[in-house]
Amino acid sequence: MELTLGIALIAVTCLFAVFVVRVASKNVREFDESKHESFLGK
Amino acid sequence: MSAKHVHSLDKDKHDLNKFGYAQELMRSMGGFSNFAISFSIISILTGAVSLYGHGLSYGGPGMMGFGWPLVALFVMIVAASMAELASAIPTAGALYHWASILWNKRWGWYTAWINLIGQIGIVSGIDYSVALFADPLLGDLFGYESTLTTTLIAFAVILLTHGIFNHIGIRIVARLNDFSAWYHIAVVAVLVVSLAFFTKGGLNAFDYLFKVGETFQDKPYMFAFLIGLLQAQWTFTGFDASAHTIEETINPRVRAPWGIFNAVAYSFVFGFIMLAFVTLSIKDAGAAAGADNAFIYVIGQALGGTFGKVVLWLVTFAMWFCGMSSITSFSRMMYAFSRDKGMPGSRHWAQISKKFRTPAKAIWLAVILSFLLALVDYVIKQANPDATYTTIAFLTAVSVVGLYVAYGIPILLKLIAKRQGRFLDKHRGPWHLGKYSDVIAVLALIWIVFISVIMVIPPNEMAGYALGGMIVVLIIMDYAYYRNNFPGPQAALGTSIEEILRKERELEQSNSQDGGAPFKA
Repeated sequence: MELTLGIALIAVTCLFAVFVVRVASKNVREFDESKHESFLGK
Repeated sequence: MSAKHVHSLDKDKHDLNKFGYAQELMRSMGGFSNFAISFSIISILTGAVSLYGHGLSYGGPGMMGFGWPLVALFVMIVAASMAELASAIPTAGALYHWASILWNKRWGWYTAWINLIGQIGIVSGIDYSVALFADPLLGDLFGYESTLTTTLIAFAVILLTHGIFNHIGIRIVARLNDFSAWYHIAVVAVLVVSLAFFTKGGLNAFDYLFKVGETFQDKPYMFAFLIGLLQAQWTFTGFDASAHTIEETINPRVRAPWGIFNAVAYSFVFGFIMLAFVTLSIKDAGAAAGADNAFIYVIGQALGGTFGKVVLWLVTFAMWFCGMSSITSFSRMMYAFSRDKGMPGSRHWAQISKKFRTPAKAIWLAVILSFLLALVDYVIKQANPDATYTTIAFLTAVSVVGLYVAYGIPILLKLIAKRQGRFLDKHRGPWHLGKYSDVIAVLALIWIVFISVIMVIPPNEMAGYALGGMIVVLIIMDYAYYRNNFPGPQAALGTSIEEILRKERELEQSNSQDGGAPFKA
Protein backbone atom coordinates (compact mmCIF):
# COMPACT_ATOMS: atom_id res chain seq x y z
CA MET A 1 0.00 0.00 0.00
CA GLU A 2 2.72 2.48 1.05
CA LEU A 3 4.85 1.48 -1.92
CA THR A 4 1.93 2.08 -4.30
CA LEU A 5 1.19 5.46 -2.75
CA GLY A 6 4.84 6.47 -2.92
CA ILE A 7 5.19 5.53 -6.56
CA ALA A 8 1.91 7.32 -7.32
CA LEU A 9 3.23 10.51 -5.66
CA ILE A 10 6.45 10.36 -7.67
CA ALA A 11 4.44 9.77 -10.84
CA VAL A 12 2.16 12.76 -10.11
CA THR A 13 5.20 14.98 -9.52
CA CYS A 14 6.82 13.87 -12.77
CA LEU A 15 3.56 14.27 -14.71
CA PHE A 16 3.10 17.78 -13.33
CA ALA A 17 6.59 18.70 -14.54
CA VAL A 18 5.85 17.31 -17.99
CA PHE A 19 2.52 19.15 -18.06
CA VAL A 20 4.14 22.52 -17.25
CA VAL A 21 6.88 21.95 -19.83
CA ARG A 22 4.29 21.16 -22.53
CA VAL A 23 2.00 24.10 -21.74
CA ALA A 24 4.83 26.62 -21.40
CA SER A 25 6.65 25.39 -24.52
CA LYS A 26 3.48 25.71 -26.58
CA ASN A 27 2.89 29.25 -25.30
CA VAL A 28 6.50 30.27 -25.98
CA ARG A 29 6.21 28.97 -29.56
CA GLU A 30 2.91 30.75 -30.16
CA PHE A 31 3.92 34.04 -28.52
CA ASP A 32 3.02 37.04 -30.66
CA GLU A 33 5.27 40.00 -29.87
CA SER A 34 2.98 42.42 -31.67
CA LYS A 35 0.19 41.73 -29.16
CA HIS A 36 2.47 42.09 -26.14
CA GLU A 37 2.69 45.14 -23.95
CA SER A 38 5.15 45.50 -21.06
CA PHE A 39 3.46 45.75 -17.66
CA LEU A 40 4.94 48.92 -16.17
CA GLY A 41 2.45 49.31 -13.34
CA LYS A 42 1.45 52.81 -14.37
CA MET B 1 29.10 37.30 -32.48
CA SER B 2 26.33 36.58 -35.00
CA ALA B 3 23.89 39.19 -36.32
CA LYS B 4 21.03 37.27 -34.69
CA HIS B 5 22.87 37.36 -31.35
CA VAL B 6 23.44 41.11 -31.60
CA HIS B 7 19.78 41.62 -32.52
CA SER B 8 18.75 39.61 -29.46
CA LEU B 9 21.00 41.72 -27.18
CA ASP B 10 19.51 44.92 -28.61
CA LYS B 11 16.00 43.61 -28.05
CA ASP B 12 16.81 42.60 -24.46
CA LYS B 13 18.36 46.01 -23.78
CA HIS B 14 15.36 47.73 -25.30
CA ASP B 15 12.99 45.68 -23.10
CA LEU B 16 14.98 46.70 -20.00
CA ASN B 17 15.04 50.37 -21.06
CA LYS B 18 11.22 50.36 -21.08
CA PHE B 19 11.35 49.98 -17.28
CA GLY B 20 13.56 53.07 -17.08
CA TYR B 21 16.81 51.18 -16.46
CA ALA B 22 20.09 51.31 -18.36
CA GLN B 23 21.85 48.10 -19.36
CA GLU B 24 24.61 48.37 -16.75
CA LEU B 25 25.39 44.72 -16.07
CA MET B 26 27.10 42.67 -18.75
CA ARG B 27 24.54 40.57 -20.62
CA SER B 28 26.40 37.40 -21.49
CA MET B 29 24.66 34.48 -19.78
CA GLY B 30 23.07 31.80 -21.92
CA GLY B 31 20.16 29.55 -21.02
CA PHE B 32 22.29 26.86 -19.42
CA SER B 33 24.17 29.37 -17.26
CA ASN B 34 20.89 30.88 -16.09
CA PHE B 35 19.63 27.40 -15.17
CA ALA B 36 22.98 26.47 -13.62
CA ILE B 37 22.99 29.35 -11.13
CA SER B 38 19.65 28.27 -9.63
CA PHE B 39 20.55 24.58 -9.83
CA SER B 40 23.80 25.37 -7.98
CA ILE B 41 22.02 27.33 -5.25
CA ILE B 42 19.37 24.66 -4.76
CA SER B 43 22.38 22.31 -4.62
CA ILE B 44 21.06 18.87 -3.75
CA LEU B 45 24.51 18.15 -2.32
CA THR B 46 24.14 20.98 0.20
CA GLY B 47 20.59 21.04 1.60
CA ALA B 48 19.63 17.40 1.18
CA VAL B 49 22.98 16.23 2.56
CA SER B 50 23.49 18.65 5.46
CA LEU B 51 19.89 18.17 6.65
CA TYR B 52 19.74 14.43 5.86
CA GLY B 53 19.96 13.65 9.58
CA HIS B 54 17.13 16.09 10.31
CA GLY B 55 14.84 14.45 7.75
CA LEU B 56 15.73 10.92 8.82
CA SER B 57 15.44 11.58 12.52
CA TYR B 58 11.99 13.18 12.21
CA GLY B 59 10.38 11.26 9.35
CA GLY B 60 12.42 8.06 9.13
CA PRO B 61 13.13 6.51 5.70
CA GLY B 62 9.65 7.56 4.51
CA MET B 63 10.81 11.20 4.61
CA MET B 64 12.94 10.50 1.53
CA GLY B 65 10.26 8.49 -0.30
CA PHE B 66 7.28 10.74 0.47
CA GLY B 67 8.66 14.02 1.84
CA TRP B 68 11.05 14.81 -1.03
CA PRO B 69 8.53 14.34 -3.91
CA LEU B 70 5.73 16.03 -1.96
CA VAL B 71 7.82 19.17 -1.36
CA ALA B 72 9.17 19.03 -4.92
CA LEU B 73 5.65 18.93 -6.37
CA PHE B 74 4.57 22.07 -4.52
CA VAL B 75 7.87 23.87 -5.07
CA MET B 76 7.45 23.22 -8.81
CA ILE B 77 4.03 24.87 -8.51
CA VAL B 78 5.63 27.90 -6.79
CA ALA B 79 8.44 27.94 -9.37
CA ALA B 80 5.97 27.84 -12.28
CA SER B 81 4.14 30.89 -10.88
CA MET B 82 7.42 32.75 -10.40
CA ALA B 83 8.58 31.79 -13.87
CA GLU B 84 5.50 33.48 -15.35
CA LEU B 85 6.33 36.69 -13.49
CA ALA B 86 9.99 36.60 -14.56
CA SER B 87 8.88 36.30 -18.17
CA ALA B 88 6.46 39.23 -17.86
CA ILE B 89 8.69 41.60 -15.84
CA PRO B 90 12.36 40.78 -16.65
CA THR B 91 14.31 42.96 -14.20
CA ALA B 92 17.01 42.05 -11.65
CA GLY B 93 14.92 43.30 -8.72
CA ALA B 94 12.56 40.42 -9.51
CA LEU B 95 10.32 39.70 -6.49
CA TYR B 96 10.54 43.22 -5.16
CA HIS B 97 10.10 44.90 -8.54
CA TRP B 98 7.15 42.60 -9.38
CA ALA B 99 5.44 43.44 -6.06
CA SER B 100 6.11 47.18 -6.52
CA ILE B 101 4.50 47.48 -9.91
CA LEU B 102 1.74 44.92 -9.36
CA TRP B 103 0.50 46.78 -6.29
CA ASN B 104 2.59 49.64 -4.88
CA LYS B 105 6.12 50.58 -3.90
CA ARG B 106 5.58 49.96 -0.18
CA TRP B 107 4.61 46.32 -0.82
CA GLY B 108 7.70 46.16 -2.99
CA TRP B 109 9.84 47.63 -0.22
CA TYR B 110 8.64 45.05 2.33
CA THR B 111 9.08 42.24 -0.21
CA ALA B 112 12.65 43.38 -0.85
CA TRP B 113 13.60 43.42 2.82
CA ILE B 114 11.99 40.05 3.54
CA ASN B 115 13.83 38.66 0.49
CA LEU B 116 17.06 40.33 1.63
CA ILE B 117 16.89 38.83 5.12
CA GLY B 118 16.17 35.41 3.61
CA GLN B 119 19.21 35.92 1.37
CA ILE B 120 21.50 36.80 4.30
CA GLY B 121 20.26 33.66 6.04
CA ILE B 122 20.86 31.45 3.04
CA VAL B 123 24.33 32.79 2.14
CA SER B 124 25.48 32.69 5.73
CA GLY B 125 23.95 29.24 6.27
CA ILE B 126 25.53 27.76 3.15
CA ASP B 127 29.01 29.19 3.67
CA TYR B 128 28.98 28.32 7.36
CA SER B 129 28.05 24.77 6.32
CA VAL B 130 31.06 24.75 3.97
CA ALA B 131 33.24 25.87 6.89
CA LEU B 132 31.77 23.21 9.20
CA PHE B 133 32.62 20.53 6.63
CA ALA B 134 35.94 21.96 5.40
CA ASP B 135 37.56 22.92 8.71
CA PRO B 136 37.72 19.41 10.25
CA LEU B 137 38.92 18.04 6.90
CA LEU B 138 41.68 20.65 6.74
CA GLY B 139 42.43 19.97 10.40
CA ASP B 140 43.04 16.29 9.56
CA LEU B 141 45.22 17.30 6.64
CA PHE B 142 47.37 19.89 8.43
CA GLY B 143 47.26 18.44 11.93
CA TYR B 144 45.27 21.02 13.87
CA GLU B 145 42.11 20.71 15.93
CA SER B 146 38.96 22.24 14.56
CA THR B 147 37.49 24.79 16.97
CA LEU B 148 34.90 27.56 16.77
CA THR B 149 37.72 30.01 16.01
CA THR B 150 39.24 27.95 13.18
CA THR B 151 35.73 27.39 11.73
CA LEU B 152 35.12 31.13 11.78
CA ILE B 153 38.46 31.75 10.05
CA ALA B 154 37.61 29.10 7.42
CA PHE B 155 34.20 30.75 6.97
CA ALA B 156 35.88 34.14 6.41
CA VAL B 157 38.30 32.68 3.85
CA ILE B 158 35.47 30.92 1.99
CA LEU B 159 33.43 34.13 1.88
CA LEU B 160 36.51 36.00 0.67
CA THR B 161 37.01 33.60 -2.26
CA HIS B 162 33.34 34.00 -3.20
CA GLY B 163 33.64 37.77 -3.00
CA ILE B 164 36.72 37.80 -5.26
CA PHE B 165 35.22 35.52 -7.92
CA ASN B 166 31.97 37.47 -7.96
CA HIS B 167 33.83 40.78 -8.11
CA ILE B 168 35.94 39.88 -11.12
CA GLY B 169 33.04 39.07 -13.37
CA ILE B 170 29.89 37.31 -14.32
CA ARG B 171 31.67 35.38 -17.06
CA ILE B 172 33.93 33.44 -14.73
CA VAL B 173 31.08 32.98 -12.25
CA ALA B 174 28.81 31.72 -15.04
CA ARG B 175 31.51 29.28 -16.17
CA LEU B 176 31.98 28.02 -12.63
CA ASN B 177 28.19 27.68 -12.27
CA ASP B 178 28.03 25.69 -15.51
CA PHE B 179 30.78 23.44 -14.16
CA SER B 180 28.96 23.24 -10.83
CA ALA B 181 25.78 21.90 -12.48
CA TRP B 182 27.75 19.07 -14.14
CA TYR B 183 29.78 18.56 -10.99
CA HIS B 184 26.61 18.00 -8.93
CA ILE B 185 25.32 15.47 -11.45
CA ALA B 186 28.70 13.69 -11.60
CA VAL B 187 28.99 13.42 -7.81
CA VAL B 188 25.44 12.05 -7.58
CA ALA B 189 26.31 9.52 -10.31
CA VAL B 190 29.49 8.41 -8.49
CA LEU B 191 27.55 8.07 -5.25
CA VAL B 192 24.67 6.14 -6.79
CA VAL B 193 26.86 3.73 -8.78
CA SER B 194 29.08 3.10 -5.74
CA LEU B 195 26.12 2.43 -3.48
CA ALA B 196 24.38 0.27 -6.08
CA PHE B 197 27.38 -2.01 -6.61
CA PHE B 198 29.54 -1.83 -3.49
CA THR B 199 27.20 -1.47 -0.49
CA LYS B 200 28.30 -3.97 2.13
CA GLY B 201 25.57 -6.57 2.52
CA GLY B 202 23.56 -5.14 -0.38
CA LEU B 203 20.76 -2.58 -0.50
CA ASN B 204 17.48 -2.73 1.43
CA ALA B 205 14.31 -3.74 -0.42
CA PHE B 206 12.84 -0.86 -2.46
CA ASP B 207 9.76 -0.51 -0.23
CA TYR B 208 12.07 0.52 2.67
CA LEU B 209 12.16 3.95 1.03
CA PHE B 210 8.43 4.36 1.70
CA LYS B 211 8.42 3.08 5.26
CA VAL B 212 6.31 5.47 7.33
CA GLY B 213 5.51 5.52 11.04
CA GLU B 214 9.13 5.42 12.21
CA THR B 215 10.46 8.54 13.91
CA PHE B 216 13.44 8.99 16.21
CA GLN B 217 11.91 12.00 17.93
CA ASP B 218 9.45 12.05 20.84
CA LYS B 219 6.61 13.41 18.73
CA PRO B 220 3.62 11.82 16.99
CA TYR B 221 4.73 10.58 13.55
CA MET B 222 2.61 12.89 11.40
CA PHE B 223 3.77 15.94 13.31
CA ALA B 224 7.40 14.78 13.19
CA PHE B 225 7.05 14.15 9.45
CA LEU B 226 5.91 17.74 8.88
CA ILE B 227 8.89 19.11 10.84
CA GLY B 228 11.17 16.85 8.83
CA LEU B 229 10.01 18.54 5.62
CA LEU B 230 12.55 21.29 6.42
CA GLN B 231 15.19 19.06 4.79
CA ALA B 232 13.56 19.20 1.34
CA GLN B 233 12.09 22.67 1.76
CA TRP B 234 15.45 24.25 2.61
CA THR B 235 17.07 22.45 -0.30
CA PHE B 236 14.52 23.90 -2.70
CA THR B 237 15.34 27.56 -2.04
CA GLY B 238 17.24 30.17 -3.99
CA PHE B 239 15.85 29.47 -7.45
CA ASP B 240 14.90 33.17 -7.67
CA ALA B 241 18.58 33.54 -8.68
CA SER B 242 17.58 32.97 -12.31
CA ALA B 243 15.37 36.06 -12.00
CA HIS B 244 17.99 38.15 -10.17
CA THR B 245 20.49 37.51 -12.98
CA ILE B 246 17.89 38.26 -15.64
CA GLU B 247 19.63 41.50 -16.75
CA GLU B 248 22.74 39.43 -17.47
CA THR B 249 20.87 36.78 -19.47
CA ILE B 250 20.39 36.79 -23.23
CA ASN B 251 16.74 36.34 -24.27
CA PRO B 252 15.73 36.52 -20.60
CA ARG B 253 11.95 36.42 -21.03
CA VAL B 254 12.26 32.79 -22.14
CA ARG B 255 15.52 31.59 -20.61
CA ALA B 256 15.06 32.87 -17.05
CA PRO B 257 11.64 31.24 -16.55
CA TRP B 258 13.02 27.98 -17.90
CA GLY B 259 15.99 28.41 -15.58
CA ILE B 260 13.70 28.79 -12.56
CA PHE B 261 11.44 25.86 -13.42
CA ASN B 262 14.05 23.44 -14.74
CA ALA B 263 16.38 24.00 -11.80
CA VAL B 264 13.64 22.78 -9.45
CA ALA B 265 12.53 19.92 -11.73
CA TYR B 266 16.05 18.54 -12.31
CA SER B 267 16.92 18.96 -8.64
CA PHE B 268 13.87 16.86 -7.81
CA VAL B 269 14.95 14.06 -10.15
CA PHE B 270 18.66 13.92 -9.25
CA GLY B 271 17.97 14.59 -5.57
CA PHE B 272 15.45 11.77 -5.41
CA ILE B 273 17.80 9.29 -7.07
CA MET B 274 20.57 10.22 -4.64
CA LEU B 275 18.37 10.11 -1.53
CA ALA B 276 16.81 6.81 -2.63
CA PHE B 277 20.16 5.03 -2.92
CA VAL B 278 21.56 6.55 0.26
CA THR B 279 18.42 5.54 2.20
CA LEU B 280 18.36 2.06 0.69
CA SER B 281 21.92 1.55 1.93
CA ILE B 282 21.06 2.35 5.58
CA LYS B 283 22.12 -0.42 7.95
CA ASP B 284 20.81 1.02 11.21
CA ALA B 285 18.43 3.96 10.87
CA GLY B 286 18.42 4.69 14.62
CA ALA B 287 22.21 4.92 14.81
CA ALA B 288 22.32 7.04 11.65
CA ALA B 289 19.66 9.43 12.98
CA GLY B 290 21.68 9.85 16.18
CA ALA B 291 25.05 10.36 14.45
CA ASP B 292 26.75 13.78 14.21
CA ASN B 293 26.46 13.62 10.43
CA ALA B 294 23.85 11.06 9.38
CA PHE B 295 24.77 11.24 5.70
CA ILE B 296 28.45 10.49 6.28
CA TYR B 297 27.55 7.83 8.82
CA VAL B 298 25.35 6.01 6.30
CA ILE B 299 27.96 6.28 3.54
CA GLY B 300 30.71 5.15 5.91
CA GLN B 301 28.68 2.12 7.04
CA ALA B 302 27.84 1.18 3.47
CA LEU B 303 31.15 1.81 1.73
CA GLY B 304 33.80 2.19 4.45
CA GLY B 305 35.38 5.21 6.19
CA THR B 306 37.85 6.17 3.47
CA PHE B 307 35.15 6.49 0.85
CA GLY B 308 33.10 8.48 3.36
CA LYS B 309 35.94 10.98 3.61
CA VAL B 310 36.23 11.26 -0.17
CA VAL B 311 32.48 11.92 -0.38
CA LEU B 312 32.87 14.56 2.31
CA TRP B 313 35.42 16.42 0.20
CA LEU B 314 33.25 16.14 -2.93
CA VAL B 315 30.24 17.46 -1.05
CA THR B 316 32.27 20.30 0.47
CA PHE B 317 33.28 21.48 -3.01
CA ALA B 318 29.63 21.33 -4.12
CA MET B 319 28.69 23.52 -1.16
CA TRP B 320 31.43 25.97 -2.13
CA PHE B 321 29.87 26.35 -5.60
CA CYS B 322 26.46 26.76 -3.98
CA GLY B 323 27.74 29.59 -1.75
CA MET B 324 29.34 31.38 -4.68
CA SER B 325 26.09 31.38 -6.68
CA SER B 326 24.17 32.56 -3.62
CA ILE B 327 26.36 35.68 -3.37
CA THR B 328 25.81 36.38 -7.08
CA SER B 329 22.06 36.27 -6.57
CA PHE B 330 22.12 38.23 -3.29
CA SER B 331 24.32 41.00 -4.71
CA ARG B 332 22.09 41.45 -7.79
CA MET B 333 19.04 41.72 -5.59
CA MET B 334 20.71 44.41 -3.43
CA TYR B 335 22.01 46.20 -6.52
CA ALA B 336 18.50 46.39 -7.99
CA PHE B 337 16.93 47.46 -4.71
CA SER B 338 19.60 50.14 -4.18
CA ARG B 339 19.17 51.35 -7.77
CA ASP B 340 15.68 52.34 -6.59
CA LYS B 341 17.08 53.81 -3.33
CA GLY B 342 15.47 51.30 -0.98
CA MET B 343 18.43 50.76 1.40
CA PRO B 344 20.63 52.94 3.60
CA GLY B 345 23.72 53.83 1.52
CA SER B 346 21.93 52.91 -1.71
CA ARG B 347 24.22 55.15 -3.75
CA HIS B 348 27.15 52.82 -3.02
CA TRP B 349 25.44 49.46 -3.43
CA ALA B 350 24.00 50.46 -6.81
CA GLN B 351 27.45 51.24 -8.23
CA ILE B 352 28.78 49.07 -11.02
CA SER B 353 32.49 48.33 -11.36
CA LYS B 354 33.42 49.97 -14.64
CA LYS B 355 36.14 47.42 -15.24
CA PHE B 356 34.25 44.21 -14.46
CA ARG B 357 30.62 45.31 -15.01
CA THR B 358 29.61 43.76 -11.69
CA PRO B 359 27.90 45.39 -8.66
CA ALA B 360 31.19 45.24 -6.75
CA LYS B 361 30.15 47.12 -3.61
CA ALA B 362 26.91 45.13 -3.30
CA ILE B 363 28.97 41.92 -3.59
CA TRP B 364 31.22 42.94 -0.71
CA LEU B 365 28.25 44.10 1.34
CA ALA B 366 26.74 40.62 0.88
CA VAL B 367 30.04 39.13 2.09
CA ILE B 368 30.23 41.43 5.13
CA LEU B 369 26.58 40.94 6.18
CA SER B 370 26.94 37.18 5.93
CA PHE B 371 30.16 37.25 7.97
CA LEU B 372 28.59 39.47 10.63
CA LEU B 373 25.81 36.95 11.26
CA ALA B 374 28.32 34.20 11.99
CA LEU B 375 30.48 36.60 14.01
CA VAL B 376 27.50 37.40 16.27
CA ASP B 377 27.01 33.67 16.81
CA TYR B 378 30.74 33.29 17.57
CA VAL B 379 30.68 36.09 20.17
CA ILE B 380 27.59 34.56 21.84
CA LYS B 381 29.27 31.18 22.03
CA GLN B 382 32.52 32.65 23.38
CA ALA B 383 30.56 34.45 26.10
CA ASN B 384 28.54 31.34 26.90
CA PRO B 385 30.43 28.16 25.94
CA ASP B 386 27.55 25.95 27.18
CA ALA B 387 25.05 27.54 24.77
CA THR B 388 22.96 24.97 22.91
CA TYR B 389 21.96 27.64 20.38
CA THR B 390 22.34 26.18 16.88
CA THR B 391 22.82 28.84 14.27
CA ILE B 392 22.50 26.56 11.24
CA ALA B 393 19.08 25.16 12.18
CA PHE B 394 17.91 28.66 13.01
CA LEU B 395 19.26 30.14 9.76
CA THR B 396 17.69 27.45 7.58
CA ALA B 397 14.22 28.04 9.05
CA VAL B 398 14.58 31.83 8.79
CA SER B 399 15.79 31.63 5.20
CA VAL B 400 13.00 29.25 4.16
CA VAL B 401 10.26 31.46 5.58
CA GLY B 402 11.91 34.73 4.47
CA LEU B 403 12.43 33.52 0.91
CA TYR B 404 9.07 31.79 0.48
CA VAL B 405 7.09 34.72 1.89
CA ALA B 406 8.97 36.95 -0.57
CA TYR B 407 8.12 34.47 -3.37
CA GLY B 408 4.46 34.46 -2.35
CA ILE B 409 3.81 38.21 -2.17
CA PRO B 410 4.14 38.96 -5.92
CA ILE B 411 2.22 35.78 -6.80
CA LEU B 412 -0.66 37.00 -4.62
CA LEU B 413 -0.43 40.56 -5.98
CA LYS B 414 -0.57 39.30 -9.56
CA LEU B 415 -3.78 37.42 -8.81
CA ILE B 416 -5.25 40.62 -7.33
CA ALA B 417 -4.04 42.74 -10.27
CA LYS B 418 -5.67 40.28 -12.68
CA ARG B 419 -8.92 40.35 -10.74
CA GLN B 420 -8.88 44.16 -10.86
CA GLY B 421 -8.28 44.10 -14.59
CA ARG B 422 -4.87 45.77 -14.36
CA PHE B 423 -2.76 42.78 -15.38
CA LEU B 424 -4.14 41.53 -18.68
CA ASP B 425 -3.30 38.75 -21.12
CA LYS B 426 -1.30 41.19 -23.25
CA HIS B 427 1.05 41.73 -20.26
CA ARG B 428 2.06 38.09 -20.02
CA GLY B 429 5.54 37.21 -21.19
CA PRO B 430 6.20 34.42 -23.69
CA TRP B 431 6.50 31.85 -20.85
CA HIS B 432 3.07 31.49 -19.27
CA LEU B 433 0.60 28.82 -18.23
CA GLY B 434 -2.48 30.24 -19.94
CA LYS B 435 -5.78 29.20 -18.37
CA TYR B 436 -3.96 27.14 -15.69
CA SER B 437 -2.07 30.16 -14.37
CA ASP B 438 -4.52 31.18 -11.62
CA VAL B 439 -5.18 27.74 -10.18
CA ILE B 440 -1.43 27.07 -10.02
CA ALA B 441 -0.88 30.45 -8.32
CA VAL B 442 -3.55 29.65 -5.70
CA LEU B 443 -1.98 26.24 -4.99
CA ALA B 444 1.43 27.93 -4.68
CA LEU B 445 0.04 30.38 -2.10
CA ILE B 446 -1.63 27.62 -0.08
CA TRP B 447 1.68 25.74 0.09
CA ILE B 448 3.63 28.87 1.08
CA VAL B 449 1.24 29.62 3.95
CA PHE B 450 1.31 25.97 5.07
CA ILE B 451 5.08 25.63 4.98
CA SER B 452 5.66 29.01 6.63
CA VAL B 453 3.57 27.88 9.60
CA ILE B 454 5.30 24.50 9.77
CA MET B 455 8.74 26.15 9.80
CA VAL B 456 8.07 28.39 12.81
CA ILE B 457 6.27 26.03 15.19
CA PRO B 458 8.30 24.23 17.92
CA PRO B 459 11.10 23.20 17.75
CA ASN B 460 11.68 26.09 15.33
CA GLU B 461 9.83 28.75 17.32
CA MET B 462 13.00 30.89 17.55
CA ALA B 463 12.79 31.41 13.79
CA GLY B 464 9.21 32.64 14.25
CA TYR B 465 10.25 35.11 16.95
CA ALA B 466 13.14 36.35 14.82
CA LEU B 467 10.91 36.86 11.81
CA GLY B 468 8.28 38.60 13.96
CA GLY B 469 10.97 40.90 15.36
CA MET B 470 12.26 41.54 11.86
CA ILE B 471 8.81 42.62 10.68
CA VAL B 472 8.55 45.04 13.63
CA VAL B 473 11.94 46.58 12.72
CA LEU B 474 10.82 46.91 9.10
CA ILE B 475 7.60 48.64 10.12
CA ILE B 476 9.60 51.11 12.25
CA MET B 477 12.02 51.78 9.36
CA ASP B 478 9.12 52.21 6.98
CA TYR B 479 7.18 54.69 9.14
CA ALA B 480 10.31 56.53 10.31
CA TYR B 481 11.77 57.20 6.89
CA TYR B 482 11.03 55.09 3.83
CA ARG B 483 7.28 55.68 3.76
CA ASN B 484 7.93 59.14 2.36
CA ASN B 485 11.41 58.71 0.93
CA PHE B 486 11.39 55.52 -1.13
CA PRO B 487 10.84 56.41 -4.78
CA GLY B 488 10.41 52.77 -5.84
CA PRO B 489 10.90 51.38 -9.32
CA GLN B 490 8.04 53.53 -10.61
CA ALA B 491 10.33 56.56 -10.31
CA ALA B 492 12.71 55.01 -12.85
CA LEU B 493 9.94 55.19 -15.44
CA GLY B 494 10.49 58.96 -15.51
CA THR B 495 14.10 58.55 -16.67
CA SER B 496 14.48 59.87 -20.19
CA ILE B 497 15.82 57.58 -22.90
CA GLU B 498 18.65 60.10 -23.45
CA GLU B 499 19.72 59.71 -19.83
CA ILE B 500 19.56 55.91 -20.08
CA LEU B 501 21.64 55.89 -23.26
CA ARG B 502 24.16 58.31 -21.74
CA LYS B 503 24.69 55.91 -18.81
CA GLU B 504 25.16 52.98 -21.17
CA ARG B 505 27.64 54.90 -23.33
CA GLU B 506 29.67 55.90 -20.26
CA LEU B 507 29.96 52.29 -19.14
CA GLU B 508 30.83 51.08 -22.63
CA GLN B 509 33.55 53.74 -23.01
CA SER B 510 35.16 52.98 -19.63
CA ASN B 511 34.91 49.30 -20.38
CA SER B 512 36.68 49.70 -23.73
CA GLN B 513 39.37 51.94 -22.19
CA ASP B 514 40.05 49.36 -19.47
CA GLY B 515 40.40 46.66 -22.08
CA GLY B 516 37.40 44.76 -20.73
CA ALA B 517 34.94 42.86 -22.85
CA PRO B 518 32.61 45.18 -24.74
CA PHE B 519 28.94 45.16 -23.94
CA LYS B 520 27.92 44.72 -27.54
CA ALA B 521 29.54 42.99 -30.45
